[in-house]
Amino acid sequence: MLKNTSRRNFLRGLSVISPLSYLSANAASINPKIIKTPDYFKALGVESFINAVGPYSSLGGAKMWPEVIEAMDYAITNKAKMNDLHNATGKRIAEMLGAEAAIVTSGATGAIIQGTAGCMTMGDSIKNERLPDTTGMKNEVIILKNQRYLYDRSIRAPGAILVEVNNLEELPNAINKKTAMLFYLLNRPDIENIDIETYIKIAKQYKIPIMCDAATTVPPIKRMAATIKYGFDLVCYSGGKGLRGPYSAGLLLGRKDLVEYAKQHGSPNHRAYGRSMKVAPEEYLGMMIAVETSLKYNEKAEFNRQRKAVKFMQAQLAIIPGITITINQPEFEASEPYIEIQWDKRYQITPKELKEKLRHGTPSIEIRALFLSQGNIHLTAVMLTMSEAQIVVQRINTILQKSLIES
Amino acid sequence: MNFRRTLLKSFAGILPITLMAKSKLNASPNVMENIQLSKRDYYKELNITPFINAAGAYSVFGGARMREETINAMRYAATRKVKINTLHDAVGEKIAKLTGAQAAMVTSGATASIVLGTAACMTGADEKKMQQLPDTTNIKNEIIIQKKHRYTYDKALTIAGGKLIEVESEADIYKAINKNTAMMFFLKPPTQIDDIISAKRYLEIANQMKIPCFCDAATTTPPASNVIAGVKENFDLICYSGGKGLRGPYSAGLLLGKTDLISYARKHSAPNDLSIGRGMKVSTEEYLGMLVALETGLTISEQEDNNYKRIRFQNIIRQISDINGVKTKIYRSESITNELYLDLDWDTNSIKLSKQSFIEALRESTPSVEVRLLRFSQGRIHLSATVMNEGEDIVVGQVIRQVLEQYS
Repeated sequence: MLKNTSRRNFLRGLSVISPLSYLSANAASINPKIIKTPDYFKALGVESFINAVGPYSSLGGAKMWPEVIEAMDYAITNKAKMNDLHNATGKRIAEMLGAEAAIVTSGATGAIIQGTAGCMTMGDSIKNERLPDTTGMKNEVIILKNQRYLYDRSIRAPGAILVEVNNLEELPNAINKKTAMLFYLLNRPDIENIDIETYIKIAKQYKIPIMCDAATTVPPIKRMAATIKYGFDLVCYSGGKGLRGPYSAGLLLGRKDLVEYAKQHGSPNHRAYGRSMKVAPEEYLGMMIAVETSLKYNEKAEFNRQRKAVKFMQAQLAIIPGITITINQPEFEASEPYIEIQWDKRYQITPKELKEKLRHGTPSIEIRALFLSQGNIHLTAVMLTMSEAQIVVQRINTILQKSLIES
Repeated sequence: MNFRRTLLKSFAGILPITLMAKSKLNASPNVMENIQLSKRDYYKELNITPFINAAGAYSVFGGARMREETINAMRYAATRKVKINTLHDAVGEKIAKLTGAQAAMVTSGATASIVLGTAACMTGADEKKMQQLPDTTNIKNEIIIQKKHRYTYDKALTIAGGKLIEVESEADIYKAINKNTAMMFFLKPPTQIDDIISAKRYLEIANQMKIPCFCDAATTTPPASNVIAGVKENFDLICYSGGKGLRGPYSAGLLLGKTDLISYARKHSAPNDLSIGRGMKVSTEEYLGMLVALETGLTISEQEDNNYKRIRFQNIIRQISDINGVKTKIYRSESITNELYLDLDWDTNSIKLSKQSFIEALRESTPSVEVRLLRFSQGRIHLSATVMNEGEDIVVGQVIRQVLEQYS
């Protein structure tokens, strides 16, 4: 190691003070510390599993882009002031996606919560401080009855009240001076028949902000720009799913004023409603790089990879007697091919029992929740390698054959 | 990784051979190996001014300087997928074991710990009530707090629908408790304030009245062993910040305490879709990073940490000690964290510069340097070395020298 004096002389000898980049280099090299990374998950008894469903939150989200991991590594080792980072990444993301403004949130739920809170308080600091008590505030959020879903719970988190309407004809009657926001869920065109343009037109006519939850509508990435162009005032995205960004990150995009109001409700503002929904430096930067990388990515190749895996599973399963396999490619949900498996009565097993057996076998296999698949068995290849796909079909076959013997 | 990147990119020509050679030893031994070295300087691209943090592990400055062990653990978790609840169960169990708590969970920060802990005390195990929050109709929602304990973050107590009831005496507490009382809150700051009701007495009353008692001990580390000491005080719930004194991930924190209450707090949190805390997400790398930060913190002696800081301070002092009228002193704060600071002063006859102007001049320098704000250091100039990397000390010394010489 160099002596301090010689280091000082060395540094003093420079005419200008060394830039920071030198310092981190210097820091690591002066006192190299080699750490062997233990196999933590093994030591903790946490087993890996096969994900045949997709990048769900409870399953750890998507596989991050290598570019994202690298950017996160950079942000962990290079410090910046949080507000600088928050502002700069938001601005850049907005530019890339053609939105007026953007912020990184702690996830799509974080985006819904902050966006709803922003529409209720509209920048009024006294109202900001009062949430979730919304007495005397605009606090009604209108939602279409057939768009009620799991995550509308988050709209209520900052103190909003959900008001249901059956159709767009009922919408004008439901709007009153307490209406804070209109809500639209973009991913269920299969079960609804709502004209987005008319919905937005009514929102503009009554000057009520309209939020769109588009959390699960990427890939394809181009749908992001298209969704923004519809004219929603706010659009929410998940970061750790289709965009392959950090697990606890998401995006809120939209009108400059509304994004600014939403931002007031977020961390690191000490007394914000959303102070607890913290976003780390590596998540701000990682989210930005996730958008950038997704925009450059060859989606066709990825789609083909998934399709190949799905077709492989279809071919392997189709040879089992009494089994019907269909391949589906939804048009509006994230464009992920999946297969649906049905079997005849010779197999004495329900889809629910099969799902449980897959979950509790070794390795554990997770498939789509039955309430999202109309009770059928669905498999996707978003997170599957070919060898994992092989294990999945083998296990399904074994379980089915066993049900035959048992009956 | 980036050490290598910046090293190779910017200073290959200037660095002495010895440093270059040693940098190779630092080659990442882990999972990051298959990732290409980036040629990008993201902050430069984004026009973000880099700075040296000589102020401390504040959230606005990006929190703590994580230890290599923690960073490596986060890299490990970033590339391996496991089920969130399985990981959380295992990490929670291990943290409980390390700290002596009945149960533990990792949250998205101390604020989230307060929100989730309060929600748990309000609803108990009742899932219908959980889904109803923040509407507290027919739900216990009164939180007792000493008037002297009102602070910036008490907002967190109201996020799930809680209502603050202020008390100033023991008699007040007994008067305040009723069938709507959900929790008694206690704030443990690093420097003990003159409590009218001590922690011990407050907890006794809570136990006697069968009201869960929550302690915010967010800022009472380092050392990490203070968590063990805090748990021993037997509050029903106690919380810590992860990304500050414990040097864990920025958006992580701890909630420790009674098994039943922790299980309710888990139900109030991500990834449960219908929870009030669904927005307070914690990533796999944060769960694991928090555990490893705590574990590493508990094995490293306070002495070792302090030695590191003393060397940083001595390197700063060496750069400026020959300036006429400058006085320096390494100072140990009288608080539960025993934090070390470098106290810097100068004779205003020979150096005509106020303390506030000095702080601003450091901020405007290149590179920019942040020191503690005067309101946090009783009007003195205090530098902290907790977030300072090796090598940054010398630059800080040089920046200070440049500023002081300008005014002498």
